[in-house]
Amino acid sequence: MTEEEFEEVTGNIIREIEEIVTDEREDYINDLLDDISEEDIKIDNNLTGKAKCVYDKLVKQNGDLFKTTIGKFIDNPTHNLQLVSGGACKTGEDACTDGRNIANGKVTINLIYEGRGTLDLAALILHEGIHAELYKYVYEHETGVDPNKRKNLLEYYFRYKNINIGTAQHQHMADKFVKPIAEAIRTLDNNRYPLADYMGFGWDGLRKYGWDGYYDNGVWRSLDRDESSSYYKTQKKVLDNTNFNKDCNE
Amino acid sequence: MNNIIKFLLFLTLFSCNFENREDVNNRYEIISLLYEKLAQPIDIMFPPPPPDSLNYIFSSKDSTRIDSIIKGIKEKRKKKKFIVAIYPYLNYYKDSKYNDYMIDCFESNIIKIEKKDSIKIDINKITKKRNDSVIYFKEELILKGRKDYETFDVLISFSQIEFNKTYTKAMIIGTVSTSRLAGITILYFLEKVNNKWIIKCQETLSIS
Repeated sequence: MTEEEFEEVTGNIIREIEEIVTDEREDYINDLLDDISEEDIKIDNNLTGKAKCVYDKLVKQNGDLFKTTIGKFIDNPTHNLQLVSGGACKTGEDACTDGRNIANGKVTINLIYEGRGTLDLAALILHEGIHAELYKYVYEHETGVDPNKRKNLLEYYFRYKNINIGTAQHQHMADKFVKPIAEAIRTLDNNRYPLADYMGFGWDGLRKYGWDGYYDNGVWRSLDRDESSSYYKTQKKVLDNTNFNKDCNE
Repeated sequence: MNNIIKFLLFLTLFSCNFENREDVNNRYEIISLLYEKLAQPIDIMFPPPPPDSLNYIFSSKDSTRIDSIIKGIKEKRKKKKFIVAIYPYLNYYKDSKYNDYMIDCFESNIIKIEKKDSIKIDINKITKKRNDSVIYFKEELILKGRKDYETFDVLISFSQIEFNKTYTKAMIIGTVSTSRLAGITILYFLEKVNNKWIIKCQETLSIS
C-alpha cells in the first residue's frame, strides 16, 4: 500500500468514525432535547410504574386540557410541580394536591390509588393537575401577576375561603372541567366511542357538586341521578375495552 | 416499706387514670367541635356567573330557574337523613411543617408530637347538634369501581390529638370528603378558653 492509499483508507475510517460519533452525539442531544421539551425541569416527576407510563402518554398527547393545567408548569421559571407516587394523603383519598408552598412556586401532587391503571388513572392525573393550576392561578391573581379574572372561580373562592377551599375548587371544576376531562380521555382512547360514554371520567368525584347544581354550557342545572348512574356503565365499557394501557402493565 | 411501695403504685395508677380521663374527655370535646364544622352538606348558594362568561348578567328568568333548583334541593335534603361516615381510628400523621405552623399559631412549639398507637374512636361519645346518622366507615360502603360516595354523604376522619401538658392547647388534623376525589385535609390548632375549646388557627394541608 502506498502512502497515498494508506492516507485515503485511514481518512475514510476517520470520516466514518466521525460520522458515527456525530450521529450518536446528535441522537444523544436530540434525546436530551426531547427530554427537556417533553418533561421540563419545572416538572419534578417522581412517578413510578403505571402512573409514570400514563403521565408520559399525557405528555406525549399534550392535549388542550393538559396544556392549560399541568402544561403551565412546563417552561415556567417561577413554578415547580412535583409529582409523587404514594406520598402524604389522608384517609380514603385516591390522590391529593398540596398547594401550601405555592408562594415558593411549588405544588405537589400525590397519587395514592392507581385504580385500573389506565384511562381512569389519566383522569385522576388530570383532575389533580387542574387543582395545581387553580392554586397557581389564584395565587398569581392575588399577588397581581395575572390580571385575568376568572369570575366563576374567584367568587367561589371568596365565598368559601373561610370554610373550605376544596368546595370552591370542586364546584368550579363541576362548572368548567367535566366535559374537558371527558374529551381528553376520549382522545387518549382514540375516539372509539361517543363523548357521552366518557362523561363518567369527568364526573368522577364531582357528582355531588353536579346533583346540587352546576353550569352546563352556561345554563345552571342539576345533574340527573339516572344520567349520572348511566355514566358508570359506559365508563366500565370503555375501561374494559381500551387499548390505552396495553403497554403500561408494569 | 411494703406500704410505701403500695402507696407509690397507687399514686402512679391514679395519675395514669387521671391523665387518660383528661385525654378522653378533651378528645371528644374537640372531635365534637370539629364534627360540627366538617360534617356538613355542600353549601347551596346562588351561583356566580358561568365560567368563561365574564360579563354575564343574570336575567330574571335565570334567577327564577336557579331559585327553583335550590329550593328543590333544600326540600329533598330536609326529607333525607344526612349520613356521616367516620373513619374508626385516630391515626398518627406526620408532617414536616407541624412545628413551623405551631410556632406561627402559639408563638412556641408548646405541644410535643409523639408517635402513638391508633385509638379507636367511639362515635357515641360525639356530641351532635343535628340529627345525623353517624356510622363507622368501611371500604365496602364505597361501591366497587366508583369514586363518589353513594351510601353516605360525607366521610370524615381525624388524626390523634396532641395536647400540651396542661390540656389547654391541642393540635389535630381533620379530613372531610364527599368522594374519593373531592376532599380537604386541615390542620387545626385549638385553645381552651373559659373551659371551652376554640379553633385558634388552621392550615389547609391538601385537597383531593
